[in-house]
Amino acid sequence: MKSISHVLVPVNGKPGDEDALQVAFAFAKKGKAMVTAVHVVEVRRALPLEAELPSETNAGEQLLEHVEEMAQHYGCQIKAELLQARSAGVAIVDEAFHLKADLIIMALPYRSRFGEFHLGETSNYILNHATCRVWLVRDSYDTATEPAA
Amino acid sequence: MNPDPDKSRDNLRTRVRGDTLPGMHPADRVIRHQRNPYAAVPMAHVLNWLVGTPIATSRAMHERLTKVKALAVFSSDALSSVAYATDEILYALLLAGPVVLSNSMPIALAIGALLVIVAASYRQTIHAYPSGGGSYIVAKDNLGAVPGLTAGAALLIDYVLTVAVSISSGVLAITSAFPDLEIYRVEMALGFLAFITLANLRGLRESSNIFMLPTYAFIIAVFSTLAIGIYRFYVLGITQAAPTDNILPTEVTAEIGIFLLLRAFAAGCTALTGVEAISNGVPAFRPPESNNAARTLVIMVAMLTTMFLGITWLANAYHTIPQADHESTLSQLARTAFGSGPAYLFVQISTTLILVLAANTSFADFPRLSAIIARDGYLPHLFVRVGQRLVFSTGILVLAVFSAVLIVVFDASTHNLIPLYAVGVFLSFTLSQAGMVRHWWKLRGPGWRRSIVINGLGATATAVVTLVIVEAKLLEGAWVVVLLIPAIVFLFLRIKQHYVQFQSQIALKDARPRAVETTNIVIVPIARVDQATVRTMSFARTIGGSLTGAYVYTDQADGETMLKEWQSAHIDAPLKLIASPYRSVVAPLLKYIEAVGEDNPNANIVVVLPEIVPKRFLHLVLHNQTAQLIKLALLFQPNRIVVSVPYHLEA
Repeated sequence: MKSISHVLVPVNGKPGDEDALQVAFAFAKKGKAMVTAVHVVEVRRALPLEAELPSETNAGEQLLEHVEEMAQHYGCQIKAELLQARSAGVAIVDEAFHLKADLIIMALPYRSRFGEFHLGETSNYILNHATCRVWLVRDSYDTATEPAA
Repeated sequence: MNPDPDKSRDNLRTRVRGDTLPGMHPADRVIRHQRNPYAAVPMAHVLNWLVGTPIATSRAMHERLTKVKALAVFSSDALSSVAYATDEILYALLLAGPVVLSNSMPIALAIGALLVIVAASYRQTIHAYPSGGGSYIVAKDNLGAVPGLTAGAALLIDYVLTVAVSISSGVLAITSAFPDLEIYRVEMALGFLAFITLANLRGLRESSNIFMLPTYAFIIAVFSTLAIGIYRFYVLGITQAAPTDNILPTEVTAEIGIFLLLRAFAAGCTALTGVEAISNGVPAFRPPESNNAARTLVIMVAMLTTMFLGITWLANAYHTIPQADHESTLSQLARTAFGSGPAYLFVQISTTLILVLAANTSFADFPRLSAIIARDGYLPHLFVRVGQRLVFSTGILVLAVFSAVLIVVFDASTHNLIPLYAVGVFLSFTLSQAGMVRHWWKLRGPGWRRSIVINGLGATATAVVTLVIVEAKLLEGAWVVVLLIPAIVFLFLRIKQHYVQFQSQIALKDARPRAVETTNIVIVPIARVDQATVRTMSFARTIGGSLTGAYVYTDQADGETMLKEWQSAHIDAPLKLIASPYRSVVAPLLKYIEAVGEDNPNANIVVVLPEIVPKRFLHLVLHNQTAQLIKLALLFQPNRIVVSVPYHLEA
């Protein structure tokens, strides 16, 4: 297996993020890899892409600061990026490509639609299009709190 | 986290990508928000690695200190003084022989009382001036600008000296244990200084985390020594310190008299150094700032007084005699209490560390005090600016530079530096106490008479100490500080004068700025005809007014060649050829600009310079030297406007 030097962790403030980050920190510390956390502010089609979304941006900043504090607690070096795009999946794949990330570790909430397990739009897109490896850290079934997407 | 809409607007649109990846629509774009405002700074990654990633202003509250951490940051200077204050009293008394050493206890009690008075005064200052500033603010508000600035200058000098002295004493402890390292003492001191500077540049919270452990270790070490020492004295009946190798001095060189007692009192007053630190740094505390700072001050003074009186009492009880350059009183007491085992080593190591870390208190206070003085316009505004880790980086760096100079000049020798020390602190104490007397007199609220008596007593006592210290140390080096304080006050006043003049000149006198009718004469100095020149000429044309290129030639053929190139580039502006018989480029050009200015006294002479911006930072040294010289020369000429037009190289 090719050595992994850069791990990208998308975060969106859901409970599963912490598990994904812990996996990434443990992996990065062991393999001396770099971790980049990414939060994407999604812009509705009704607005221009450059629209200012202060509340979403501020929430994203807070989230990334929390992630940075977590990294500090785990003794792990981290970079945190705040992106703005139409679709989170596109932005994450694009960011991983440009940062030359070798691995994306992302949280996957357990959710179902019409009685079937549902992967979700973003995870589906990333699994389909990411040029690097992708690890999903799925929530346990009983603690899943996500409503169906 | 970013409530300022303007700020978020600035953060947007820093990079828009249009690359297409598999599965990506060509119209899909991603905007990266600029989270690190310093990312555009050259070598930002090096800066981030050294001092840490920037902290948002909104996180300022999280960077504030709890009482536990603040005690470690602001008390290391004060607490460290118990490591040598008793010795200082005993050294002074020893001049009259070992039999008079028992006088140390009454002297220590008097110092303890003075400590309580000074602390009570600063406690009132903290509540009266919650924005910090200590002696400077109190003296300025109540006695006037010059006394305030005198207190400020005295404190700033003493902070620099504290750093140099404490680091040098730490190095001395190391070189005592490892004499082979003696030749590297300046290098080691500069290394320690760099470490403390970097730790402070990384932010208040981070530096407090680094320095908390040694401070509390020292507190535990001293209290353990006192507890065991008292136990051994009362329970085991031990009344002699563990024997030392040194011969006890028995020669009497002076008689015990009021002057000797005063000198011993003044020498012991080093225990007071650092007491003012908390009052300068009130804004660093978590809310309620004043209450937390006042409580921390009370805790610090209670510990300091207990430790100081305890050590002096125990030194009397065990009849210890200080051994200059050999063994301190605290070391003798620790050895008596614990023997020479690990507990004794713990006391010694923690003492060494606290002596080094006394420098950290200065790093917490010097930048804050200089920022407060700068806010009043007596220091450059740069001192007010908060750096990427929410600390006053300029003050930290200036303190580090001055301390480094002192360390190098005085060869990292504590012996050479000590005579300069403590004059400033006691002068600032005196001014602060006197200021508080005036404060109570002006307010005359409930209990004002009692407060005036307390502060008046404090002012008198600290004034006496100041005079005794000056008298005792003047010829040994204190004259430097005595001369330096008025010199710095003069500098403060000149800076203020400049800012006042600047404000009166630049302020909008009318509600609406007046439009002044002027014409522009645009001159573009060129070195060659290339894309940068063409781009600069295109821009210069948009300024309006007459446009001329200017080329300085050293021989006729060179000038003719340039003129041909200029014409073949079809640039729609004349080219002025300026002869330079002595090969200088800048001087003939300036002469030409001056001549144009004289011919058109009401016109703005706009000099537009093409500047090459290479992709690599280090390549900057390969370009634009002449442009920089022209800019510098034109900077001090009135009615000259200089514009740079960058041309970014791709490789």
